[in-house]
Amino acid sequence: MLIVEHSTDEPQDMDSFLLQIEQKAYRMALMSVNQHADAIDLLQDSMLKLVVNYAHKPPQEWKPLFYRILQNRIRDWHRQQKVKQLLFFWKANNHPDDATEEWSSYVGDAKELPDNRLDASQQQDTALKGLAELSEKQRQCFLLRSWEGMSVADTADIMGCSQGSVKTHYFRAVHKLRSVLEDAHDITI
Amino acid sequence: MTLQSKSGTVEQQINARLDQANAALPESVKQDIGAARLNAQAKALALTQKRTTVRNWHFTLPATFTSVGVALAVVVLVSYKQTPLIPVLPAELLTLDVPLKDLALLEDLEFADWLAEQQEVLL
Repeated sequence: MLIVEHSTDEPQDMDSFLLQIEQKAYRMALMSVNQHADAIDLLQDSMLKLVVNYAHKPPQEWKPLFYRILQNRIRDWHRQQKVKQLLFFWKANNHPDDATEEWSSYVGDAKELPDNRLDASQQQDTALKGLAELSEKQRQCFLLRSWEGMSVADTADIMGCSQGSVKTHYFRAVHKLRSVLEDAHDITI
Repeated sequence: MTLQSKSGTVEQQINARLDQANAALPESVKQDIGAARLNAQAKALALTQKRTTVRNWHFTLPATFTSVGVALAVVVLVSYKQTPLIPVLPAELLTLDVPLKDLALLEDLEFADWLAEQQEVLL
């Protein structure tokens, strides 16, 4: 007999579920699109699609479904950007450092913090910069597997690739992040 | 304080940093995220209601069309009267040569009938 165990902190209603995942989902979207407004739009669209189309599904299926929707929306967003760049190629990107500004603006102002918090803030900054240096696939894979705690099968399903690819992306992501952290803090992890 | 002393693996360290970054999100960003959630739920509710209305129409429209169609058919069938057809003359009558003698007799009979009618009118 198959016994399915569910974690006790799993939300049973849609409101709690959305409340639980909203910040992580926003962070993932922000890391992919680098713009606050676009990240908010993607988040809202994904939530809307989940509620309209999948609210009737069992609560334990909501998380993989939501992240699959979000990843698809992010992919669509990148495609739209490519098309826009092709159509309006003469409009140069005036602020190539926008991404860095967006990322750093949500980390906090390190200068105003005490020394012990300054160190933590710098480490946080390094970690986020490390993530920014990863490829899109590697970052998605790392965030879903490590931060969201999804299984390899679920991650593969969300990303639309094989489980072997997920393992490879994850391994490379961890390897890169380790080297970034080691370089930044001159230590061995 | 080193990274190694704080936690074990790279994954744990990055996760902790990400959680810290989320906790330190500016209030305006948190409000935007909350607003996005509320907007999504409100839009979803409106969309679901709209879909229900359309679905109801899908159910009622065929029923309406069927009942109207049946009613029209009944009205047409009930009001339809078969027009009485002119009886076809028998072919024998058409081909039959009526003798002239009979025709003269028929004319006399018609004249006598007319005459009788005239006399009745005069009286």
